[in-house]
Amino acid sequence: MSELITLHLPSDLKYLDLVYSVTQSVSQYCDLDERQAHHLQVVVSEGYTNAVIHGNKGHSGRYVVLTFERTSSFLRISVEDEGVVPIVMDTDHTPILPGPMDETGRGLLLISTLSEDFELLSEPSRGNKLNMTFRLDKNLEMI
Amino acid sequence: MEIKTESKGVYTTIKISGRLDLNSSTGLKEKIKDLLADGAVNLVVDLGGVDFINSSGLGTLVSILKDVRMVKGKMVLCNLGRYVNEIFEITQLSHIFDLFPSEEEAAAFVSESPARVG
Repeated sequence: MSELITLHLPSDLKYLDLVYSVTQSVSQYCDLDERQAHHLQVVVSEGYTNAVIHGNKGHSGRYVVLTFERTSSFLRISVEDEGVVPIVMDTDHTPILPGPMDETGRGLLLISTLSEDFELLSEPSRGNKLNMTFRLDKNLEMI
Repeated sequence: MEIKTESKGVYTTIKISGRLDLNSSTGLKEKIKDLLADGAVNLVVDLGGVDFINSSGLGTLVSILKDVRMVKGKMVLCNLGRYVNEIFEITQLSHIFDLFPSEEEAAAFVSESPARVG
């Protein structure tokens, strides 16, 4: 059985604080430890920021749908936008690493490292959906 | 996010607290731009009060580092908290920035051979 929380947010970074607040509440609800909670904040903020800036191209009339689904073993997060993201991935669907002095391009690297699993689905007519999975397990090894 | 700056003669400390993300980045960039324009090119950025950083915050720090280097200045980071340090390690920016556990050590490094304007 799973529990679902879905937020339809205007595509605007002024709602980022709200995203942080909700994510913190989800962390507490799922009894994540401090480190897991921090990881969750990072990946959710990356997903939302990416959706606003790249997916919806900063278009304030669009929406971002943020969903948290909790099962007995996992927390699944999806971030869905209404646009088309020019995300560049390697052919094996791993994020292309930015150059050391690049100012952008580290978001997917953080998502791929901090989440148990992730996928990015893109459909030109429907937008993009970033799915991330967190294991609800306290015994995290240090990276 | 809060930013406090203090001139220590040879270098300037910038103490940041709160979240370093896309929303707070603009203010930080503006503050640094002003410092560089005033000739304060040796910077010790104290991240001890930063409890959260994501890729946007990292990008801002990289951008600032590039600006500092353009004016032949020096910029070092200090007092990274556990989780902020972890983000630097994952993104390998720990190899790009000079990181120090304390302001004292950071200041000593900057003061050894500070960049001079003019």
